[in-house]
Amino acid sequence: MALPQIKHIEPVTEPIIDPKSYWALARRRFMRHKLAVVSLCVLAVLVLIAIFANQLAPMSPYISDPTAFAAPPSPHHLLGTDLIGRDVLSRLIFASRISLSVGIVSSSLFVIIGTLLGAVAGYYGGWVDTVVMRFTDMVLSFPVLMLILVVVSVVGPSLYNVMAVIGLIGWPGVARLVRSSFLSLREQDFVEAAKASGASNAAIMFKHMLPNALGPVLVAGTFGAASSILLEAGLSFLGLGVQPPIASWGNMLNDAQSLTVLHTMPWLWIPPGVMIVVAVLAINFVGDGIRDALDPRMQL
Amino acid sequence: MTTKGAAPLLRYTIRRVAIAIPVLIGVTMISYLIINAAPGNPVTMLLNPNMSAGDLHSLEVALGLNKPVWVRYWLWLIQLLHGNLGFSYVNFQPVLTRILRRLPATAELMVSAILLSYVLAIPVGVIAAVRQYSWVDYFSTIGAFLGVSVPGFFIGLVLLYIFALQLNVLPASGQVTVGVIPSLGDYLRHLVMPAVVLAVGNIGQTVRYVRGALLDCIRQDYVRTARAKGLGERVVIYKHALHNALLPVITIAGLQIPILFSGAVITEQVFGWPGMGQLTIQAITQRDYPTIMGITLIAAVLVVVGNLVADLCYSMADPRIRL
Repeated sequence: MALPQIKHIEPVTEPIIDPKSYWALARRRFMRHKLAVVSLCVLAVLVLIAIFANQLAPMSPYISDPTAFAAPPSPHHLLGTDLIGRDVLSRLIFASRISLSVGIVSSSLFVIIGTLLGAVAGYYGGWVDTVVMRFTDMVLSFPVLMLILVVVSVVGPSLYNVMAVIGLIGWPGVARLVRSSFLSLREQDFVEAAKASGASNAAIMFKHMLPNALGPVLVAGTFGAASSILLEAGLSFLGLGVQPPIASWGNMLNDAQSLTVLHTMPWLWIPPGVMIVVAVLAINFVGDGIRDALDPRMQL
Repeated sequence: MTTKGAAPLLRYTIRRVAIAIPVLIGVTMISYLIINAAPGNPVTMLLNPNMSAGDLHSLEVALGLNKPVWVRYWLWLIQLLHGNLGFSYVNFQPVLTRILRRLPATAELMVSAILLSYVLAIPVGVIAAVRQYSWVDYFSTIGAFLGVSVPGFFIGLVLLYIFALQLNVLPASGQVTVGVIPSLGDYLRHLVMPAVVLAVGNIGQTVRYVRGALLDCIRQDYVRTARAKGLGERVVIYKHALHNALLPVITIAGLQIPILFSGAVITEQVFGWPGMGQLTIQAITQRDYPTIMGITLIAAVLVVVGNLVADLCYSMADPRIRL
C-alpha cells in the first residue's frame, strides 16, 4: 500500500477569492450536472406556460361545454373534459400558475422566517438560542401535514390561506441551517472586525454574516418550493386546499377519489398527476445541481 | 465496570428527557391555542333551544369558560393528564376512546411501511456505497429523487388503477373483506398497497442515508487498519464498516415518524384504511375540532416520545454518543 502523501500545507490566511470567479465556477459546476440543466429547461418551459396561460389555453378553464360532460380526449378537447364539462387541457395550463405560485410564495415565506429566527438564535446564542431552538423542536414535533390540516380547518381552505399556512409552518429546517452556519461564522475574524468598527448587531447579522450563509439557504429554499407544491397538491387532493372553480393540479385529482372516475376516466387524473411529478422532480434536480455547484461537500 | 458504564447512560437519559419535557409542554400549549382559535366551544354541543341567555351564561361559568385563557389552559392540561381529551362534537364519545380505537390500524400500517422500506433500502444503500458511481448507485440516486418527488396519493391512485381495477388482484379499500371469516392472507392483501405507498418516500431517504453513512465509515482509519492487516474486502465492509454505518439508522426511524403520520393521512384516505388518518379527514369535514386536535396532539406526543426512544436506543448501541 502506498504511503500517504504529505499534503501541501494550506496557508493560514483565507485565500482572497474574486466573487465573480466564485459564481463563474459555480455556474460551470452546475452546467456539468446534466440532469439539473435539463430540469432547469423543463422548469423554464413550465414557468412560460404559467405566464402565458391566457394565450396558450385553447379555451376558458371555467366554462363548461354543455355538449361534452366527462368526454374522453377528442380533437376538440385534446385531453377531454371533466365531470362538469370543463376543458382538462385548459385547466391543466391554468393550474400550473396556481401550483407554481404556491411553491414560490410559500417557500419564500418560510425562507424569510427561518433565516430571521436562525440568524437571531445563532448570533446571540445563550438563552435566545435555547428558546428559539426549543420552539423549533415543538413545531417539528407535529406531523407537518396534520398541523397544516388543523390550521386550514380553523382558518378555512383557500389559495391564500394555503400559501400562508405552508409558509408559516415550513420554516424549522431553514432556521436550523442558518443557526448552525451563524454559530460557526460568529467565531470568525471578520465578525470581530465588524464589531470593533462599531457596526450594529443587525448590520453584522444581515450585511456581513448572512451573505456567507446564503448557499445552503438557497438550496433549502429550492427543495422547499418542491415540498410546498407537494403539500398543496396533497391538501387540494383531500379537498382542503385550493377550492374550485380555481384549478390546481392537486384539486384536479380530487375527483379521482371516486373509483368510478379512477376506473373509467383516466384522462381526468393522469395528466395532473404527471404534471406534479414533472414539476417537483425538475425543482429537486435543480436544487441538487445548485448544491453541487455551490459546495460539493455540502451535507443537506 | 457496570456502574461506570451505567452512569453516563443514566445521565444522558435524564438530560434527554429534560429536553423533551419543555417540548411536550410547548406542544400542548400550541395545541390549546389552536383549539381556542377554532369556532365553537363545549357549550355549543350542549346547546338546547329551550335555554335562555342566562342559562347559557351560567353554563359557561360552571364550565369555567369565563376564566382567562391561561387558567383554562391549566384546567385543560390537568384533564389531559387524566386522559380526558374532551368529547367529539359529532357523536359525544370521548376523543381518547375514538383515537385509541383507530390507533392500532395506523400503527400496523406505519410499522409495515418502516419494515418494508428498510428491507429494500438497506441492501440497495450498501451496494450503492460499495460500488460508488456504478449503475446501481446511479439508479438508486434517481430512484431516491423520484421517491421524494412523486406524491403518495398519485402512486396510490396508479396502484389502485392497475392492481385493483385493471388486474383485479388486490382489494381496493378497507382492512379486511367485510362478511368473510378473517384470515391472514386477506389482511395482507389489503395491507400491501397502502404499506407500499407509505414506504415509497422513506425508501429513497433511507437509501441515501445508508449510502452516505457507509461511505463515511469506509474512509475512516479503523477500516484502513482492517484492510492493512490483510482482511478480505468482504469482511472489512460487511463486518467492520457496516456495523457502525447502520447504527445511525435507528435515529432515522425516529425522524421518520412525523413523515409517516403525514403520509398516513393521505394513504388511509386513498385506500379507505380505518386508522387515525382517515379519522382526521372525517373530523375535519365534520368540523369536529376536539377530535382533530386530539389526534394532532397524540401524534405530536408520539413523535416526541418516538424520537426520545430512538435516541436512547442509539446511545445504548453506540457509547460514543453519550458524551
